[in-house]
Order: sequence, then structure tokens, then C-alpha cells
Amino acid sequence: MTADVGAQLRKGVVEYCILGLLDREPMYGWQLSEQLVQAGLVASIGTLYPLLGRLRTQGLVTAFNQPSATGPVRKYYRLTPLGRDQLNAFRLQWGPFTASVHRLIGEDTRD
Amino acid sequence: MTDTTPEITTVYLAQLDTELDQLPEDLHRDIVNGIREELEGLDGEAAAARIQQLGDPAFIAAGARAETPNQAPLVGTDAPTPGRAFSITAAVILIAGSLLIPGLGAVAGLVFVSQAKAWSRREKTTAWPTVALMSAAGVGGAHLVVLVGYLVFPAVGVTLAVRAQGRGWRA
Repeated sequence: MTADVGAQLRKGVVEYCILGLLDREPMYGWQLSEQLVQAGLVASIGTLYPLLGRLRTQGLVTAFNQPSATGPVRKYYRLTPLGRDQLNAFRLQWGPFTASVHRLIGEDTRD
Repeated sequence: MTDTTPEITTVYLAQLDTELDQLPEDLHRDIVNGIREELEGLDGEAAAARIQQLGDPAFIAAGARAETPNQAPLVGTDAPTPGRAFSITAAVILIAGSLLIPGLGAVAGLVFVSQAKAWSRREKTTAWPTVALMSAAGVGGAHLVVLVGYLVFPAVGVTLAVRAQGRGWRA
């Protein structure tokens, strides 16, 4: 058993959380990083890009360039149809999974 | 056209570029471009604030490395990735080579060091001018050549080895 439970849990879900964010709207790197860092799912923007690279390799995410309102052209990421299917499959499993784990470990009610 | 990029942005991007040196080229490019986009058009004050949010380039690079387990190829080469053993061998060749075959041994050692994974591009670039120092010493007479050959190169090798050892033979 590993001592760093949080890191293992984050590793298991972070890619689906990226898919979830991109399901709302296409986002650029910093936008994604800000939300994921705030949620404690990645340590920095450096952690995000290898994950995005893997998602692109798997065909779950695609990138495109778009000029921003303030000037610079940004690289945006969006979900592919395959990515949306993967996210939906994860959503279907996540609820029952967390419910099962909760049933097994419950809450510590001892004083 | 005049480049109006604030110095803090230029320095930060240069540091980031150096820290990401050993990562795969496409990942290296994605991170630098992504962060450059974020800093582009910001004045010095706004850039400083955003840089503070982004964090230390070394921290960003460490995060990227942690998510890129050993499959990362060396940038710009098709050769197999030289690992820890290769780096140790490079340091040994530089130290022992410069003592056994002055001049040639040192150059061979530096070539190996340049191919090794344990040192950053900056460290490798800094090591090479010692060859110029050796050549320059020739002007000062044979005793200076011997002094540089037998002292400076091994010292460079030991310094590189100590630095690499301190960070587990990773750049």
C-alpha cells in the first residue's frame, strides 16, 4: 500500500477531469492549469502538458489555434467525439464506484 | 519594429527553456509556447504577477518530468537515450582520459559529456571553453599546457560528476 493516497487518487482521475473541463468549452493551457491547480489535481502547468499530450495521442482531445480578444494567438484544446464517449463512460462508472467505496469504508464514527 | 517584451518575460522564458532541455521536443515546445502565449502582450508588472502564479521554471520542469516517465528521448537525436551509466562513463573518461592522454583524452571526455543526459545544455556549453584554454596555454609554454591539461580538465570532470551525483545523475 502506498502512503501517498492523494497522489494515487489524483493520478486515476486527472485525465477525466481534463476531459470534463473541455466538455464545457474549448480551453487553452493556462485556463486548464489554473482550474486544475486550484482543485489540487496538478502541481503546475508543467504537469498539465504531458497529460494533454497523452490525451491528444489517444485521440480524445484535439488542438487548434485561435486569436484571443487581447491579441495573442492561443492554442486551444477541445474534446473529440471519442473523448466525449470516454468521459460519458467514466461518468457512468464514477457514481456507483464512489458509492461502493463509501459503503465499504464508510466514515470513522469511533470517538 | 522594436521588441517591447519586458526583460522579466525574456529571462523567465529563457530559464524555462533551459530547465525543459531534457524533455521530448514536442512537449518542450508545447510548454514554452503555452507559457509564452500567456505572457505575450503583458507589461512588466502584469508579467511579474503572472510569472509568480506560473511558478519557478525548475518546478514546472519537475512537474513535466514527473508525468513523463523514462520514455523521453533526448532532444534532437535518434540515438538511444544515454542513461546514468553513460553519464558516469563520460565523467570517468573526462577525468581519466585527460590524465592518461592529455588533450585528446579530454576532448573525448567532453564529447561523451555532451551526449550524456546528466547535464544541462548550459553545463555542457560551459565545459567546452576549457579546450580553448588549453590551446591558449600553448602560447604560454609547455609547462602551462601540462598544468591546464592535468589540472583543469580533471577539475571540470570532478565538478560535473559532483553536480550530477547531487541530483541523481539527472539534468
